[in-house]
Amino acid sequence: MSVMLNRPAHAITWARIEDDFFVGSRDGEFLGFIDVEESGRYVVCDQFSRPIGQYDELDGAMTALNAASADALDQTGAA
Amino acid sequence: MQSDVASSPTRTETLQSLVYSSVAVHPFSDAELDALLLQARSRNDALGVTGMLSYRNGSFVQFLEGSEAHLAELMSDIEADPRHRDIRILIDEQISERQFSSWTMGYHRMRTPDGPAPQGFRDTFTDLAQGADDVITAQAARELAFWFKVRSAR
Repeated sequence: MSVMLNRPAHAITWARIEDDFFVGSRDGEFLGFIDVEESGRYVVCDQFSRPIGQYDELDGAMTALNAASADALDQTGAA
Repeated sequence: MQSDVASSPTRTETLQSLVYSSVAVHPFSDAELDALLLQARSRNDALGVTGMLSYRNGSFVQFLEGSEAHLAELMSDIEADPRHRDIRILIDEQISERQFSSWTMGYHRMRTPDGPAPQGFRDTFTDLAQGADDVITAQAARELAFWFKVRSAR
């Protein structure tokens, strides 16, 4: 089964818990979270709280988590 | 308060997880929340119950874990508590292990958002406090537990 064919049906869903804390999930599984530091930077971490990167905008942080989870999907077949 | 309550119930008892929402009869001050937590932790410790409380803008969402009998006893007391109303059971299911084994009643202050969630985002607490379908409720419960653990680890 093609990973590419699977992707549209397994889009990331996003949720806000606080104004400075967001989580991304796919099929109910956590991909990671976005935490806004006091400096205003968006810190992206995976589901094990391992840092992925820091970004100036929420959109950039979302793109980074999406890309990191897509990479994991490509490598393992599961994010 | 963190505690090791994971020894109860015994291996032969069924472990149950219960999540409910309720509405405070009036907005709780920090002192009132502290008093509630103190009471809950003492009671839960005695019953071998673990869990987590979240409070935002006059609404509670509470996670409880323990034996079915102890949770039933606890919920009877909770339902009679005059400090809240409109109790709704969101999740009531058997579990194989506790999510909050280190907390007799974990709590991390949750700030009220300044505005609506960004476009394309659900609001986790709203899903739980105001009702959503079973799939979204289960997802929101996992998100809130995840947030609590990340915040508590700092």
